[in-house]
Amino acid sequence: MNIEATENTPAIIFEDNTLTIRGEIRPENPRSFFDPILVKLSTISSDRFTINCEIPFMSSSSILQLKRLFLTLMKQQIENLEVFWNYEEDDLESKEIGGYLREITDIPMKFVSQKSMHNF
Amino acid sequence: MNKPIEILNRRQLSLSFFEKMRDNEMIFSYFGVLNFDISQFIITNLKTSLSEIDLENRFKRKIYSSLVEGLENIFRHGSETQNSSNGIVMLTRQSDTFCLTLGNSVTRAKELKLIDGIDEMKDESLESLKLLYKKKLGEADEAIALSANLGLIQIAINCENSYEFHFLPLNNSMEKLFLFDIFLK
Repeated sequence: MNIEATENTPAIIFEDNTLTIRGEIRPENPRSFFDPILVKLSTISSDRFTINCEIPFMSSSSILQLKRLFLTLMKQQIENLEVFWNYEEDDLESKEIGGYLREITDIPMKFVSQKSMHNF
Repeated sequence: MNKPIEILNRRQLSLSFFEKMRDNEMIFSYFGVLNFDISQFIITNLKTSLSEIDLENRFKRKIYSSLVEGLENIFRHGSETQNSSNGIVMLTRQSDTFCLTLGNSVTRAKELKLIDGIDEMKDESLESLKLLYKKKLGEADEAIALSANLGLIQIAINCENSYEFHFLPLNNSMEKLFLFDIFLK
């Protein structure tokens, strides 16, 4: 299941036990956007799974849906589960949000600083 | 700066907008129907405007985030009597301070809910606001995410609690115009 990016929704790419979320997240209805992704994640049977987040901006209501996604994965007790949280090097707010999600959900997360992610 | 002011009449409101346009550099303004599609148009336009301004990205992100959260807030607390209500979006600049003005009509119930949300953040330091955000994020049930007020707290974090709000009476309506001035510097 792959979803192409739009101006307000990210690309969703499932490939080799990796989910990549790339782009801004501010859909009209974040819950409806994330529902099919969570259904897909609930079918994972592998003991290894990686999430690669490359999200230059997300609305607060979308951050709540990411929390839901991480909690869903944590419930599945995947042995080697890891999130790579990419953020623009001067975007400490994004890193902070990632930190909140890591703390709240207990999901293993590594932070990756990128030169540029935003298109201002 | 986060204090409610006395109710203004329509003429005073028009005058205050005129003064704002006269005294500040106008970057973006919109008045009219606000629905999701139009909000996307506004966000795209603001993004283009920001890309043309010589400003640190960190600061542009604060403006952008405040606009997106503010527009989401309008849909959340907007008029229940119409599918698309009228709204105001304005971004002005006076030297190193940007003012994002957002306005929309709200019912009495939503007015009270907004006042509760704003009261919760009133006089809090930046660090306390971040702790409040984290607490709400942890507690929020994502099925009823809209009640968490995370967007309002994010705006308060962006502007370091520098905002003003007004509830103005509307002619022939039980609803009021919620005007939210967010000062970013």
